[in-house]
Amino acid sequence: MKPYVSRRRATALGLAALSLAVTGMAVGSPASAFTLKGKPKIAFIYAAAINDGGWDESIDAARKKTAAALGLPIATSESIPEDATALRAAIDLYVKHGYNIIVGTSYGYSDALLKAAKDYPDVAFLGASGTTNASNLESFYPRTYQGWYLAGMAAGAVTKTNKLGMLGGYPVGVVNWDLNAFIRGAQAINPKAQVIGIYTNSWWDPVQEGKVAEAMLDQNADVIATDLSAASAPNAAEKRGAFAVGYQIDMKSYAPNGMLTSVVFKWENYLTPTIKAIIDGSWKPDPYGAFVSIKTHTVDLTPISDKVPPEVQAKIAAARAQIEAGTLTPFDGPVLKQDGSVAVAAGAKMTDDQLWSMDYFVQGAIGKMPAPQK
Amino acid sequence: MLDRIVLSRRQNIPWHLRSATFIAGLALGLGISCLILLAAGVSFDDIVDDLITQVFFTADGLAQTATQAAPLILVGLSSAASAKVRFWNIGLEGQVWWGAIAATWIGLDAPGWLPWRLPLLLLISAAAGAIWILLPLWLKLRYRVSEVVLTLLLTNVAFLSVQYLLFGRWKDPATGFPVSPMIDPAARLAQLGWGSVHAGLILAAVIAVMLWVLFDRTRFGFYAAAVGLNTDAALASGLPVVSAVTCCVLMSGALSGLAGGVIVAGTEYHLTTFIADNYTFSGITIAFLARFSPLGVVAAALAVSGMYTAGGTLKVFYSLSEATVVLIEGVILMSLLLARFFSLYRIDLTHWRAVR
Repeated sequence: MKPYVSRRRATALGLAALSLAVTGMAVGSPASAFTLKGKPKIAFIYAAAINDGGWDESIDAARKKTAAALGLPIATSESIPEDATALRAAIDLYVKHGYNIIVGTSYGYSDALLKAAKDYPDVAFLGASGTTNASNLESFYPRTYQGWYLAGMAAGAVTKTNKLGMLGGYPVGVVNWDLNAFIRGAQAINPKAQVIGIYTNSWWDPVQEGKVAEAMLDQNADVIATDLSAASAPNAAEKRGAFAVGYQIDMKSYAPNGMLTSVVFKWENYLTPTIKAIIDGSWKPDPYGAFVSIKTHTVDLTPISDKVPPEVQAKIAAARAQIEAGTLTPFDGPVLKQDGSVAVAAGAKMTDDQLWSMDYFVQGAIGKMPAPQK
Repeated sequence: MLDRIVLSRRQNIPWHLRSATFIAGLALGLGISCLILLAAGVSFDDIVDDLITQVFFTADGLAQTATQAAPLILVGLSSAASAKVRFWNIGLEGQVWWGAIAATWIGLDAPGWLPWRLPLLLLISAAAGAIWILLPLWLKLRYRVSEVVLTLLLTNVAFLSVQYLLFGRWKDPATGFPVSPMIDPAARLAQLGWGSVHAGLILAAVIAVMLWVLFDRTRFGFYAAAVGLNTDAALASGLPVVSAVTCCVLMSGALSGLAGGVIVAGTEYHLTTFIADNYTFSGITIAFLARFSPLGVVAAALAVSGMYTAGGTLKVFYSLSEATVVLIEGVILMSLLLARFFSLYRIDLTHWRAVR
C-alpha cells in the first residue's frame, strides 16, 4: 500500500522510468522469429498510477491507440511496485489467465521481466525503458537526444541573453544526453549560447522545479527547458515572459505564449507495429533492445512556435531529415567535454555504449555534473 | 428500554477473545470490501472464484503472502519493541535503508570465507539499523528532543545516502541506472522450495518467539512494560529506565536493519531506490494491530501481507485503480482496529432503573 507515508516518493519513483532505458548488455542469440501460441491476450503493467500526468499517462495514451489499431482489448494494472515479488505475482496471474503478450513500463521491472521471460518462453514480453533482453523479451526506448537537439536549435535562435536553462532529474545517461544534445543544438544555431544545467535530484517535484526555473531566470536565462514531467518550470518561464521547452506530453497549455515546442513520446509508433509483428509471427526481438530513432516518431516534437524565425525552422526541418537519414547525429565529433578534454574525436561518431555511459557535460554548460562515476 | 452503555476496560484479555475479535474484524472488513467490489462492477461469482480462491487457497497466492511477510514481521517487531517503552520510531524505513545498504556492501565486497558471508551480512545489516537510531535515542535521553521528528527526517537522509551510492559507486556502469550489481550467491538466503519463500521467514518467526520470551517472561520485559506504562513512576520506583529504553530502541533499529538485510538477501539480491518503500506505514500498522505483542505481530504481518497480495490480485483481475485498492485495504484495517476495541473494553448495556 503506497499512500499515507510516502505517496510523493512513490509517485516520483514511479515516474523514474521517465528517463530510463535500454542497454546494450543483453545476452540472447539472434533468435528465430517468436511464435505466439493461442489467441493474443495483451496486458500492460504500470509502476505508478496510470493518471500520473507524465510517464505512465503517456504510455497509457499509446495503449488506447494501440488497442484501437489492433482491435483488441488491452488489460491494465497500475501501481504494481518495483520489487521482484509483487511484479512476478502480477505476471503469474496474467499468464495463468491466458495472457501471452505482457508489457512492463518501468526500468525497475527489468530483472523480474528477464526471469519471467525465461520461465514463460511462450509469452512475449516488452519492457519500456528496460535494460534486459531475451528471445522473447525486448526492451525499448527512443533516442530522445535527437528530439532535444532539434529543440535546442529552436531555443538557440530565440535567446537574447545567450543563456538558456535546463532541468534534469538524476545524472544518468538518458538524462545527460538530453541536456548535452540541447546544448549542442543551441550552439549549432547560436555559437554563443550557454546552458545552465541543474539536476533536481527527484523525478517529480513541481514546487522545487518551479523554484529552480525562477533561479535560472534570475541568472538571466530566457529559455527554460525541462527534462521532467511536471510543467511547473515552463509555467514559471511563462509568468516572466520567457520561453520554454516541454517534455513527455505537449505542455503548451502551461506556457501558451512562450512554449517553443515539446519533446513528446508517442509510444504507439513502437507498440502497434511490434505487437502486430508478435501476433503475425514475424517478431524477432533485438538482442540489444529496440533503441529507436526519431524517424519512428516514438519520440517527436510538437509543432514549433512561430516565435522561431522561418529560416531557423527550415534549418530544424533539414537537420531532422539528416538525423532520420543517419547523416547527422547530435554527437558527431569533435565533442569536447566541459573541462576541454575530448569525448569524441573529430570525424568520429559517438557509439551507443558511449551514449549510455555519458556522465559529463559538453562544452557550453554552466554548472557542475553531480556525482560522476569514480 | 436501553438507557445507558457502560464501557469498562478489561484488565486481562483472554487469548481466545483476542483471536475471536481479530477474526470477526477481518470478516467484517472482507464483507464490506465485497460490497465495494460489487459496487465497482465485479460479479459475486468472480470474487469467490478468482479472488478468494487465488489469495487464500492457491499455493502461489499463499507463497506470495508468506514471502512478503518475512520483512513485514521484522518491521512490525521493530515498531513494537520501541513502542513498548513509548519511543515512537517513525523512521523504520531509514533503518531498513541502512540495513539494505550494509547488506549490499557485504554481499558485494566482503572478503574471506564464503560460509560466513550470510551470517555476517545479517549481523552487519542489523548493526547498521541500530546505529541509525543511535542519534535520535541519545538526543531523546539527553535533551528530550522529539524522536518522532528526528526519526522521520533521518529517513530522508538515509534515502539520500542510498541515492548517493546508487548514482555513484554502485551505479550500473553500462547504463548509469541507479541499480547495484547482484550480490554474491553465497550471501543469499536459502529458498525453501515453495514459491519464492526463503529462510528469512523462519528467521523472523524465531526472532518473534525470542522477543515474546523476552517481553513476557523475563524481568527485563517487566521493566520495559513498566517504563511504557508510566516512565515517571518507573523512574521513581528505581527501575533502570535509561537502560531499558536504550535496549528496546536499539533492538528496534536492529530489527528494521535486519528487515533491510532480509529484503536484499532474500528476494531482491541487489539495492535499488524502491526496496524499502512503505515499510514505515506497514510496520506501525502491524505493531498497532498486534497491540505490540510479538506473537501477535506474526499474525498481523501475515494478515497485512495477505491484504497486499489481494490488492495486487484485484488490480490484475479487474484493472481496479490504486485508489479502490487502497480504500479496501483501509476498510479492512479499520475493521480490525474496531474489533480490537471490543476486546479492549467490556460493554454493558444496562437499564437506567437497574443502575439506580
